[in-house]
Amino acid sequence: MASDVQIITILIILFTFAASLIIRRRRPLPMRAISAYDVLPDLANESIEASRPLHIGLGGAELGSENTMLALVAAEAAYYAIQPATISDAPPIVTTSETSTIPLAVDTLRRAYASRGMIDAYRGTSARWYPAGPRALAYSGALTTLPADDHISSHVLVGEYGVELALVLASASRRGLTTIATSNSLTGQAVAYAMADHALLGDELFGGAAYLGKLPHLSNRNVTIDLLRWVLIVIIVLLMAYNLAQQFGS
Amino acid sequence: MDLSQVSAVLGFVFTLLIFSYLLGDNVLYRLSISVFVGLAAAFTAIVTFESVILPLLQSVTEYGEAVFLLIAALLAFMLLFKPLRGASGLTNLALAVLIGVGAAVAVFGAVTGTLIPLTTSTAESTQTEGIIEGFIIFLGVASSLIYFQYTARRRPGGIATRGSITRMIAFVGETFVMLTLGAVYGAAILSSLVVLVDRLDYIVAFIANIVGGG
Amino acid sequence: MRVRFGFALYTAVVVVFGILTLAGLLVGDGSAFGEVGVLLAPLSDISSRFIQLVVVVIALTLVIGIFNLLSVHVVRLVRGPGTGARLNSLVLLVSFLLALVAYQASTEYNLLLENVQVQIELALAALICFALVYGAFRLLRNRVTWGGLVFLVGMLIILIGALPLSQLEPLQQVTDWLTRVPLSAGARGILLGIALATLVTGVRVIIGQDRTYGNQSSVE
Repeated sequence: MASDVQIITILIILFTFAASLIIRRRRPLPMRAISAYDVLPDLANESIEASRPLHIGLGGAELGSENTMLALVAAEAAYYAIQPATISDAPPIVTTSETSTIPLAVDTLRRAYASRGMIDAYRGTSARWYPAGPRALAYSGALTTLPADDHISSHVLVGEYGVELALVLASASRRGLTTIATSNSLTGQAVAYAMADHALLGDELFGGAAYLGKLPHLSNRNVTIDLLRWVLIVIIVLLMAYNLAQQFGS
Repeated sequence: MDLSQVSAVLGFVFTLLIFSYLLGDNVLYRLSISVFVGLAAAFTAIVTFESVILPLLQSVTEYGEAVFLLIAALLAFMLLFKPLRGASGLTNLALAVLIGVGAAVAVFGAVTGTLIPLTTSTAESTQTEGIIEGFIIFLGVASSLIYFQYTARRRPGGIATRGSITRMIAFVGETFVMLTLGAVYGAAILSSLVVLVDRLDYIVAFIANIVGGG
Repeated sequence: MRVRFGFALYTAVVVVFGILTLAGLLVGDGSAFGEVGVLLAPLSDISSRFIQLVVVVIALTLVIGIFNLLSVHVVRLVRGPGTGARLNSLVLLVSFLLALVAYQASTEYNLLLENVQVQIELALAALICFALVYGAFRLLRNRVTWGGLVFLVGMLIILIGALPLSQLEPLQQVTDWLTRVPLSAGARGILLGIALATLVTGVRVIIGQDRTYGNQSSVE
């Protein structure tokens, strides 16, 4: 790594550290509506009323890699989706295609049950691993069988997906299931937008806790992300002005 | 019939079973998927064992390496017992190691792999793409970033919406974002079309081979 | 009290491993820091050791995956929600074990199973085309919004631009320009947003402000 890039990287990270420490609001800030987060609690009710399990897919989000944060925020969204559904006769199902994410899936399920004082109702088979297989098709293929085999009520697909997400969403649409989908890849987001009932685009998955958790301090992450957006825009403007000055100066 | 012929017939049969999904979700399709998942799991296990675990075990030649491997095995072993209630506290420690190291790798990767290169290339776009194109690229990047802004203002009536200027910029951002996602979707259709044509070609060739007595 | 101690301990582990790994990655070989660099260089060794450790742990979690696959499908085989689910679990377990046995037995059998896997994979990949076209049709029917319309325009630009017709050559130039300028801008905007969110979330996890594991959800 070139030394100037190294110094810039350090400065960016130090700035983010400082911003995260400084932004400590005790009252939640109002946030724009995101339909997927409005609908998510209703999916639990659907599951309870129909006595059919809710499915949450974490896809290829993996702990320990560059996808770690994606896995964590996906598990966060899963927690808020599962928590109200724990009283359903049909326990929710969490799937992943990464073996390192299985403990996180188990942890998320256990916390959701424990938060309702129902840890005894937790079943070990609720967290499932399906291998990704070539082009992640084994995992998505397995998800297409869940509506018929496990009679799931809806899909919440939050994690890493590519074009294979289309198979899962088409099968869900065929059965009339409600779907929420997102991905960290452009292809996954494009498929989610076209085919899911509610899609989370861009970085919307990362801001989920503030929408679903309803605790004041949870919005601090979103406020910090918003601050950095504007800082980044200002930096691009300054760099562009500098480049233009050089371009026309020479 | 030798093994390669058995393999070809099985491949053809499974292709038809998967395609039967087009007529409706059916038992045969789901059975084929179960076969696929089982095989994929086995191959994942074999590949991971052959290419990662076995070389690791073979590379242990000194005391330090053995201790290192033992610690890794201990952490993995702790994670294995996550479903057990009594061991849950202990396994969280192993999870914390994965999260701590993973968070650092993710932060470093986001800054050096995306933030710095894309910011630099956007700022240089007036030089690389031309003045007008450069400004359009800047407009697209900035408005797309603002399109996803979370914070808003509480309006009378309790509804949270963004200010009128932010909404205007966000509208431009939405146009850039949706145009991009649409194009990505179109490209995905094109590449999947290539695979579909290849599969139809395979089916026709297989049938022609049988009919032709090959 | 036990929960609080555990909570503090898990956070401490995340913070220590996170900060040491990040510091090591940032310092590199220390050459950018002049004379102080020599003192900082060991951080890089610690960081790469931690990353190696995690890579090995991830590989070893394969055992967890296999254990999960077998336990879930054995239970489903015995107490599955229906005959179809039981049958599918049985087929999955049999094909998994058969593949392992075949691998042990000979490479030829391995080839046979591998071929079957490849054929199913390609057939599924081909099915994606139908799913995507269905998705586009569904969008056209259901989502008459500005975003939906622009999305369809973006899709059509790429699809029409790919047609191998000489009359469409001027359109090809427009497609190239669109790909180079507005489409690239939109993609950069989305990717920069995700990178910023990853950075902020990661930093907050490393300094212990966001905790999304263990016995408490998110704290500050």
